[in-house]
Amino acid sequence: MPDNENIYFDIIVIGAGHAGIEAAWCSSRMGCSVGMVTMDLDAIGRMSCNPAIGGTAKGHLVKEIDALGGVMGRIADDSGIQFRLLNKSKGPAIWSPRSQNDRELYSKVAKEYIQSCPNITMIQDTVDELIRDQNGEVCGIITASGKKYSCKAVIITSGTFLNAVMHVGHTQNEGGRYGEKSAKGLSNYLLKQGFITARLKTGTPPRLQLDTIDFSVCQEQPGDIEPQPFSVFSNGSFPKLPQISCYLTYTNSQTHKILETGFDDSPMFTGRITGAGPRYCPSIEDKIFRFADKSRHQIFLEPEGINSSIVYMNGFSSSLPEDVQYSAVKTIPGLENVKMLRAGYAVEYDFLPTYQTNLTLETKLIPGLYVAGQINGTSGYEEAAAQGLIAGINAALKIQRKEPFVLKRSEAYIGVLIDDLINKIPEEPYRIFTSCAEYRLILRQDNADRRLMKYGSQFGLIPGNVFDSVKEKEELINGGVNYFKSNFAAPKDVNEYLASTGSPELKQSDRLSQLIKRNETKLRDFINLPMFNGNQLIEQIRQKHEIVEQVEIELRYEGYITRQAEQVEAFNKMESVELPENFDFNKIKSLSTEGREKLNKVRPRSIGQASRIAGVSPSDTSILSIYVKG
Amino acid sequence: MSFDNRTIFAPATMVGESGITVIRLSGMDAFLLVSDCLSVSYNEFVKPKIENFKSHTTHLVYLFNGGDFIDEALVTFFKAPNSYTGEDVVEISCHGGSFIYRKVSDLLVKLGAFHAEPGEFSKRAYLNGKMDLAQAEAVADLIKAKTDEANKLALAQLTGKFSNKIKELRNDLINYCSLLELELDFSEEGIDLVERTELLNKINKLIEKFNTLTQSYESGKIIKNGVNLAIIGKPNVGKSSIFNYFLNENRAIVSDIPGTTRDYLEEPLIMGGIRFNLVDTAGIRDTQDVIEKEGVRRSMIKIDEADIVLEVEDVTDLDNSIVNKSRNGYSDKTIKVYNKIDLAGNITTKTLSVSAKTGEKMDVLEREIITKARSLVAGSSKSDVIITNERHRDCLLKSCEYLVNAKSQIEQGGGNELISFEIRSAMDSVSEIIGKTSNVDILNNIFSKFCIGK
Ligand SMILES: Nc1nc2c(ncn2[C@@H]2O[C@H](COP(=O)(O)OP(=O)(O)OP(=O)(O)O)[C@@H](O)[C@H]2O)c(=O)[nH]1
Ligand SMILES: [Mg+2]
Repeated sequence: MPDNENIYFDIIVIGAGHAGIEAAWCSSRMGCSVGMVTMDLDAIGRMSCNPAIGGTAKGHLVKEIDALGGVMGRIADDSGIQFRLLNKSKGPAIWSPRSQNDRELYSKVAKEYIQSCPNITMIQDTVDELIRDQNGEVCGIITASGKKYSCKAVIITSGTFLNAVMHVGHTQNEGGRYGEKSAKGLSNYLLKQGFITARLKTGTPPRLQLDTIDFSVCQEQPGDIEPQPFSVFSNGSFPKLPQISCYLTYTNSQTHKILETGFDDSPMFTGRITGAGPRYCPSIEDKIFRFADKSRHQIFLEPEGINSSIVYMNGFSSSLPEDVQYSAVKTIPGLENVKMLRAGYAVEYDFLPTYQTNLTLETKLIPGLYVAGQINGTSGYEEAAAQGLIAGINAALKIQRKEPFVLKRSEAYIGVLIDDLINKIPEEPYRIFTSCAEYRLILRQDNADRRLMKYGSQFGLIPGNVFDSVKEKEELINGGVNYFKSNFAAPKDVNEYLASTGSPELKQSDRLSQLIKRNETKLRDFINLPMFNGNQLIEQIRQKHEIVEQVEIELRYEGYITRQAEQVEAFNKMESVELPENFDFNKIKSLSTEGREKLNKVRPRSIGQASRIAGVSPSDTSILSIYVKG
Repeated sequence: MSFDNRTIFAPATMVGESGITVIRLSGMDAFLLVSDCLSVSYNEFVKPKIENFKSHTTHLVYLFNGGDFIDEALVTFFKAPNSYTGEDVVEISCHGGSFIYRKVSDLLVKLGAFHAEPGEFSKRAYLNGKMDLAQAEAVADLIKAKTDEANKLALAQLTGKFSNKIKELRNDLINYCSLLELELDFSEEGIDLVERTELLNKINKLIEKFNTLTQSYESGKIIKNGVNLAIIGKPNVGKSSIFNYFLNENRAIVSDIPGTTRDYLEEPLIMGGIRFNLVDTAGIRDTQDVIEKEGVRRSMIKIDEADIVLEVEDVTDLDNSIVNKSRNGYSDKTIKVYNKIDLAGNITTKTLSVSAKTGEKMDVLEREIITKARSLVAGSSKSDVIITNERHRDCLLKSCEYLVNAKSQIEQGGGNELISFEIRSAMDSVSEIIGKTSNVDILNNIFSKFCIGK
């Protein structure tokens, strides 16, 4: 008999990666006791791929996680060694924060955050089975060491560990990551329960030794001069760590020639990898094979930390034999004499196609069981964290018998992410893009707090004073926008400024917003014109750089934001046409076979959702709407 | 709730004094339902082995209502989904005449079939994915089509020629959008930038395509609804006489009292394979008579609405100043004709002189009108596809408007996200025509077509 049968947690989180951290953090902060089971207590928040957080669209996710009360942004801020706002040359909707992080430190900080929660208990073990009660609901777990724990909900965030196989050339190892074990027991258990799994693959590039690289022939990529944190909580001493640069170099025809010699040994080409890999983040062998006309590919050399001697070779994922990788690497400028510390490898793993879960990330098969992260077929840390947060919040809400929390596509990238996952069965690891978000002009990283903090606050994940300051900010922004829209400038007030920017001078008075919309105008400077002296509102706005920036964005996008809001309204209309939970799609004979099959799989809750399911045709959607409306 | 389970039927041909009447049934139970009234024997009711009937085969049977023989008929079976509606369909060709039709129709109702509502077959076809929105709309047009041209247009639309054109435009939009998105989402990964001037060229070309297509609506409208041909002129010049001549019927009152026609008259007419709406109007003159004044006002409206104006003058009274004064800027749609040539002793030098009374040279006038109408139709149809539907035109116009926005964004150096927003809006509007919209398409396209490096 197990000796710990009485140990109970409200929620058991399996895995301590980026999804697990958010799940445990949020649910514990919402008052639940949490048991966090991980194979390795030192592997909390491990950056198993590149040592960076954020990036295009991913940065949006981090900001949203932060606004909802998650920790990813805070951990990234605390361990960041380079901060950049990407795409600054493009429109504000596309601006995305990204950080380069100290890998060791990231993990350490993550552990500290988890340990700071008195409600979280860490358990080093492997989960083999779940225990279900007479209603089929989850009520506990059994671990490999034979221990039992009881609970009300389980969140699986086990990343790539399900049936993972590592490939380097012809060599294969079981294990999710370098030197880590794969979780076979749980995988088999889920299969036995009737879950369907499919195979995906992901790859990592070689790691290089810092002092063997000649950076002088590479292009330096420093961080922003005025680095901005991800988190609203990171004020005061930011950045905490000294900042470093990354370096850019390129492959060449020589590199490609050498890599081609290894194609016969590549598990991708020899068919040993059956899982689908991402098209947008392909291995270097994939890239030279598919884009044969490109004479070179970009390689980013990213230091893994302040004191680390390891450099991450971003852009060079490979599962070719080690010797081939090494010779190829040495042809790249700056890397002629490099020491390769570890070869790149590919990991193949099981995932649970997400039609098996609801929008709350609770599985349909086992009530009380939630899944988040790579197990759902996503690729990055940020996507994983976002799901962990949603699963954690929903598990807690369910235990507290409260309404579930689902973000709409029109509200957040997180909403887009989960909606896409559920409705478009991924054939490759899913990565978020700005083009996935049809309402991206209003889903910006700058207004994530204004969009979402109300929810974080509602769940008790955001302290009152923080929420208050966002409300104040919102008021100032709206005040500023309205002021500039309804007030005018006389030529004498602005012509000197306009001329200095090379913009045509005014002949008669014009609306301030019209002047701010001009490409040449910088609100930051415009707002300092003498005409605004003594204006209380403007003086207040002037003090905060981010408010000035957001007023400017709102004004520049003005007409577009209105149009986008109209689209959202139309979208919401479709979303509000509900389909009953136990709707019988089989009784509608006129649905296409594929459509009916997909509808039965996903079981959409609204006509809008139905229309987004891959395989459901427009006529299927019309049939449904005609049917529902009677 | 029952729309999909009911078996519906309707005569597929005109019921009346014809050789045969074809009755069409559609529904999941259509085969089973008709099998209850089919017999292989004329003498007694013997059900055929209907399960042995193959799809798209025709069989000689005898229709029975209980024990009563009704008619000899040919029945054709179409198995779902290979039928017009995508459901099981049976076509019964029975003998013509409303008496037999009523008997068969009563029988079918008794067996559980329902009279189809207008358009219900097409609606089912649409719902079953047999046709898209535009095709469904074409069916309606086809049924209404009164001339060869209109028929051809509707057929083109039905066979998907029009939908294909729309898909082509939509694909162009997806391509441009993909280019922009690629630059937005992958710029950190060494993606080549989109050449602005090149994009502008592409958008311009696309705008032109949209314009050509929307302009074809003018032809389309004419072909579908007919050419509005208004006969105008001073009182008593013989407008109503010409009107009657073409109609071959004394439709309008003709008298020698100026101001006989008080209100306009409209009649359909087919000449040279083209459908016309012939309009007789009140003669134009200054008048104090309240009613006549209103008539003149209406004449002016008819001039505006007309595709072709037939301006009539009396050869014996060539002062046309009053008409010239009141009309403005429609000269290019005008055919001028001089009437009452019989009174002029044939000595007139006017090019187009006719006599509505004797019919002299009226064939020349008719040819003139047909030529003008043809040039109207052809003139605006540089497009290989002609649109006939107002909804389609509106969608295209909206779409084009967004493209013009996109164009000016590019010219002003606006951001990709804004250009893309406009192009996506254009895409949505175009997609509305065929009822499809999705943003997966953009992403899929990005990946299938372009080179991505990381
Ligand atoms: N001799 C001759 N008489 C004609 C001809 N066409 C019309 N008329 C006569 O001209 C008179 C007026 O003809 P309508 O057809 O009523 O003229 P209208 O232009 O319709 O006149 P309002 O309706 O009053 O504007 C009638 O007496 C006709 O018989 C023609 O070609 N030759
Ligand atoms: Mg008349």
